[in-house]
Amino acid sequence: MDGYHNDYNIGVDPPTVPQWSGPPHTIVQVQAILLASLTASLFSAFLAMLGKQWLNRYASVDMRGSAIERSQNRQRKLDGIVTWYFDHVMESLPMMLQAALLLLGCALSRYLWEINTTVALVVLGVTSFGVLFYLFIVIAGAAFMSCPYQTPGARIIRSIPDTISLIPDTFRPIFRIPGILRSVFSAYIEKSFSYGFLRALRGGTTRSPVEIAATILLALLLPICLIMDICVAIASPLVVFSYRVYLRLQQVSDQTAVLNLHCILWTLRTSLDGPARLSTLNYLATTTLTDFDPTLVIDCFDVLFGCVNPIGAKVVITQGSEQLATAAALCCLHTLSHLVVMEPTPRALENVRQRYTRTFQSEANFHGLPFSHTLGAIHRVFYPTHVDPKEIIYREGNVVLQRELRSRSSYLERRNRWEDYGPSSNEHVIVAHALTKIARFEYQKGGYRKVPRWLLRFALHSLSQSPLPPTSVIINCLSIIAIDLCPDPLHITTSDRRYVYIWWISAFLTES
Amino acid sequence: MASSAGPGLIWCKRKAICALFPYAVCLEQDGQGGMVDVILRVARASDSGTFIWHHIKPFITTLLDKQSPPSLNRAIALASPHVLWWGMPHEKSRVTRWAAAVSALSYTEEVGQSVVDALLQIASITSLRPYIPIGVWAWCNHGDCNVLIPSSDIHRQHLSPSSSMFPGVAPKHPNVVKRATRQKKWLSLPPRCLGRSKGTGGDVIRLVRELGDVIILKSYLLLVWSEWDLIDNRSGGLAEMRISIRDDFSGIGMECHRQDLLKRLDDVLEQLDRGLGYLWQRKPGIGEDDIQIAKEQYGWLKRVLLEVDREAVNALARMSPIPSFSEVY
Repeated sequence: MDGYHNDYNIGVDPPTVPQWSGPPHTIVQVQAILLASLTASLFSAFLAMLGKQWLNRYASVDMRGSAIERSQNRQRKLDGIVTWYFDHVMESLPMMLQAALLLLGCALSRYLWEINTTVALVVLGVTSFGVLFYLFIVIAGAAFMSCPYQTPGARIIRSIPDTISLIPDTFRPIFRIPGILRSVFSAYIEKSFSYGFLRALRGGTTRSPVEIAATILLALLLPICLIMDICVAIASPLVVFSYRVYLRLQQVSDQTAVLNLHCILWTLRTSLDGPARLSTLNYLATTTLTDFDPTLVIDCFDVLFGCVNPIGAKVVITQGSEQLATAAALCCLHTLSHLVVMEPTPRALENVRQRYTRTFQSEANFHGLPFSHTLGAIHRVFYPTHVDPKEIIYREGNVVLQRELRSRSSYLERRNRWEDYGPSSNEHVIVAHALTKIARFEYQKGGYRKVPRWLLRFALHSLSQSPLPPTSVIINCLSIIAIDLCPDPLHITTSDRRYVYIWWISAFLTES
Repeated sequence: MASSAGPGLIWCKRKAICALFPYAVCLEQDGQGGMVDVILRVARASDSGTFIWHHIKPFITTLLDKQSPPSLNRAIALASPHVLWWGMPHEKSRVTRWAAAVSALSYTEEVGQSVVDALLQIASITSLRPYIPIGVWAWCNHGDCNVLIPSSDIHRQHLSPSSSMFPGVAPKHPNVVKRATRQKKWLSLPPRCLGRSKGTGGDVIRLVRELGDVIILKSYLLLVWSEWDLIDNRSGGLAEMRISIRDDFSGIGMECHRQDLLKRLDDVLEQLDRGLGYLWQRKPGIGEDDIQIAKEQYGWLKRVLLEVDREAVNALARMSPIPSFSEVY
């Protein structure tokens, strides 16, 4: 120890510790925060300019092409905006600016704290007030939909419960990791125990070369297996997610049917312009629905409900809405028939039924409406005339109830008097096509026994007309008849069943 | 189809079949008449012998409008038994259109049956009766001439004691029964048709008698007796038949007509003797009482006919007594 001191005290200068010659740490931290704030501001400005360009492109109107083509073009751009989360990107701009402001406040407070605490406290107070105010409006916006101070943060908080409920489905492969690990480890442990048991039976502790090699191999393979398992568990949801995104992007590509459907949906939901809605409904009534969304039926019914006014059982049209109501009723029948055939799930139909039955009573009187037959056909779907025999048996003996059931049945029977039905050619085609689908649905619903007679009366009335209706109507009427005549027309595996129907009618009649 | 499918299936699918009929008429107008025939056969094979769905009736009635083209004549004739002739507006023009359609057609058994069925229905309505052209009644007399009658029928005819003009006398030449002969096959109405039940009223029989043609009168009786049915006695149909038999078919010269009528009555009585099971196949829902009444009605008519026949034989015997031995030599 002394020697050490001696050596130290010899005239050699002790080495000096290098001192920090740069700016103080506080300044560095403040500068970093300020630069981050500046960068965020500039980046948001950059995005804002880009966003302005994107919005200009979206708002630009293509002057070429028909109205339908222009609508499709506009819808294509709108679908792209939804698919690529354009609104999220645009909403991130104010968030970035808010973050930049927060960073600026923090940096200033930190910087001024070193210089003068009083001044710093003022800045800190203002910044804290800003933060607290922002937190308040976020929470208020999340809690109350009516709160006018809505922010992206509030929306995110509101969506948290839904997101949590989706987590188990989305990340189910990841949750399987413990199971995978358990299986691998249990296999290893089982192996080890079995070897140990064998060794115990042999009565010695020495291992054979095969056992040693197997144990080493297993020890080497185990981590590889684990890594592979974890990779697969993580990669699988990513692959699934990527595939879904890919499918969605594909869906947005130039599929005219999808575009048309989206155009129609958008117009019906957002537009309040009468002529625009009328044009859309007229287009919808004549178009073939290759792509379908069950909400389309509800939208059509919403338009119809907006045009009519049920006063008790009597239904009247709102003044000036005659054309729109007629087109809406036709579209309702058209889309409803598509719904019952394409997606006859109880849930989809039940939604529409609930809306309909809330508006129209079972004894609704459509007499005097220009579309009374169309509405009558829709009414038949939701309020079938058929009275359940079990109900009658149950109520047997109660004469009043029986009479009530019968009168209701006969009232509904009288509603669809096709004798005074004289539609335009176009309307006739649409109605016949829709009723054919409904006939198939009702036949299926009734246990493959018979088609309701009001549908057969429609076929009879249409085929009795002089001159004959368009060929499409004739074919559809024959299809309705054939569905009733043929033993099992739903199981025909033909691209166009209608020709088979006609063939079957001939076969049925000339059977002997 | 009618026979194979059965009335049950026809009843179940009656609405669809009826709804198809207007289209079949359109095809008929274009020269493809097969579907009309088949649908009408199906309707005839149903329990009531007609279209069971009343919604089709207005369409069938519109076929008789003046504007309907001549190409629909056959369809009109075939569908005319299913027209609602009662309480119909423009009745004169419709009967005229029907008569025009019928007169333009040539005879086939199916058309003939439909025409006489409709004719008897029209004749039963007082307001329509004056508009029936006399020539239309000739359809009752249609039939396939020179039809080969099977030997079994001849055998039955000759062995049946009641069919003989001399009851209890066996045929003299049994070998005859083994041969088939060519005779006229009279037109007959289908088992279930409205024309037979409507057309046996006293008014209708009087109308036919007023035509003054015994052949048509006989054809009419053969038609309404072609299958058993209860004769309308409320309007004096049975009594009028008796009067007709006594007044119009008496005399020696009417023997061949009486033979034909007796043969037809024998056929009907034979049907009635076959029992309820057999008769239910043709007329579901009838009861033992109906059969008993029918037996009495047709038996009574037969007795009247035999009585007239016996009177004719007696009259013949009185007019030309057997000469005595001394007178001959």
